[in-house]
Amino acid sequence: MDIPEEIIERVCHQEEQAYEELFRLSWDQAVRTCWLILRHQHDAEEVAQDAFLKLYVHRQHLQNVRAFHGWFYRILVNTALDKVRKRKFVINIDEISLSNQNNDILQSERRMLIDEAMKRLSYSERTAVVLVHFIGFTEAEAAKAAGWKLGKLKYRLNRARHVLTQVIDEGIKGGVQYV
Amino acid sequence: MSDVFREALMEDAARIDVSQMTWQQVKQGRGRIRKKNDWRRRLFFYGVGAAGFLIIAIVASGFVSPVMAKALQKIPIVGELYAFDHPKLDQYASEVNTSATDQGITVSVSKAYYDGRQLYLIYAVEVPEGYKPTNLPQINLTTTKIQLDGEPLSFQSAEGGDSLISTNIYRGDVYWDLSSEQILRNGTLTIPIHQVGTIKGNWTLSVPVSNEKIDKATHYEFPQDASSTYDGITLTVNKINKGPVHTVISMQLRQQLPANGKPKYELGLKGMNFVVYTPSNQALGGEYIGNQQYYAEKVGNEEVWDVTIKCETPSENVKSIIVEPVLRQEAEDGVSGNCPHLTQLAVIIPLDDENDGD
Repeated sequence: MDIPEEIIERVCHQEEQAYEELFRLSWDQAVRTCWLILRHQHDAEEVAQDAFLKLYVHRQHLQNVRAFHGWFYRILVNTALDKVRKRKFVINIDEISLSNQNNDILQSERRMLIDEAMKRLSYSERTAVVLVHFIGFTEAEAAKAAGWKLGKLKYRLNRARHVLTQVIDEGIKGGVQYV
Repeated sequence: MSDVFREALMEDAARIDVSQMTWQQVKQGRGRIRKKNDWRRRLFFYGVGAAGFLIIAIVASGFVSPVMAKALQKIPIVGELYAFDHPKLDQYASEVNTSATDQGITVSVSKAYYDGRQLYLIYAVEVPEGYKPTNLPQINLTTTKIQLDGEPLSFQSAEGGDSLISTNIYRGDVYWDLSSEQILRNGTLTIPIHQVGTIKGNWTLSVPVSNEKIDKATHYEFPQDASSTYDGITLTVNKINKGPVHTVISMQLRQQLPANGKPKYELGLKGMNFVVYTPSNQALGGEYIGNQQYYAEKVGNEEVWDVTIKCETPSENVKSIIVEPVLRQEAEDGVSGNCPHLTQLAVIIPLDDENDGD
């Protein structure tokens, strides 16, 4: 997500048009980030909308333009994890198949492997791996965005990497069986 | 950054077709939802009023029965205040319902889990209209000077935070990894809070905790032959405490020291992590817990490191768990690379059949 500092500055000064630009530039990435954690597109879009609304309400509190990136992802990730907390008592969403899988995707063994691997991770582990490897945060930035201590982030990241590597390797060596 | 993981995530993220939306649509969409729900509002407010009255009655009584707590968990917002997101943890946690009000702000603790080694609390902060939140958690219990039966709560680490769950309620949870010398079966926590957000005040909460229920359900095992040796290191599992929620594993690592030069592996908290999993590869976590020996101790021509970790307790049908060391590898700029697993040192720990309840 590459947002010019000038737009962020205008957002802090509560310029409506700047917020629209910010939304346009970051909406897609925000939804995909949430989807990687939640594995459910409707929830991902809803969480991204909530995060943008929260950001909009609190935008005047952002003092440092350079801190925007971390601040934005902190709101996004916390909103996603709040969603997890809310839905945990209702249904295990990971057990539901993707509703928008098309035939190409279903035929793609590699994508299914990645999906399987991601589903084996806890939400916290997904958050760690997404912040570092998808968003491109350093571990310190990711820990700050997630609101964890660095050691906790490293632990979760390491677990996530281990599981991802293991599942993908297993699939490559032995083939994958899916019901 | 590892390209393999990035590529995998990029590919994974690319599989969805993100709806094209504008900010105006999002804003208006929320507006429409609000209008649509206007007719329900009165009913909702009556409902909230009734729920509020119910909560006040419960808080005033200072007690929530398990049956009532289960019922409350089903109510949106209220339910969140009464449940941990870990079902087993939630099952063994106790309802507390203690609260304090000052400056128009009510801070309450609704649930506590205490097993002598760990403490988890759920808290809520109810703020008045016009309250200006901070970007940080509204209260920071991890730095609050908490007492347990009049003595400062001694802990290794703490983490937690809160977030807004309704227009005026923040919900948070906090976790403390307690120092192992402070193990009490029962006690009362005294939590003095002097600041909520930017508002100074006095909120003192008393939270009774007990680990009796968890202690009764915990099995202590001393596995035989749970050991493995590889490349000059021996890992031995000496003891496990299999609790209903967490299993604590006490281990020792010994490494032969070469006559000249440095040992091959760095034993100690900076050099190694552990992962625990079931034979079917279900991850159970693996985190340091309690007082830790930061570095290995030199004994004769060996380095010895005693270490204790915790993991989630697997389901009853799991007959064994596997603990595996992971080397920590730090690269420049604080970005760690792929940490290699010492799979050759993995130790299989049989779980006692008596626990199966057959």
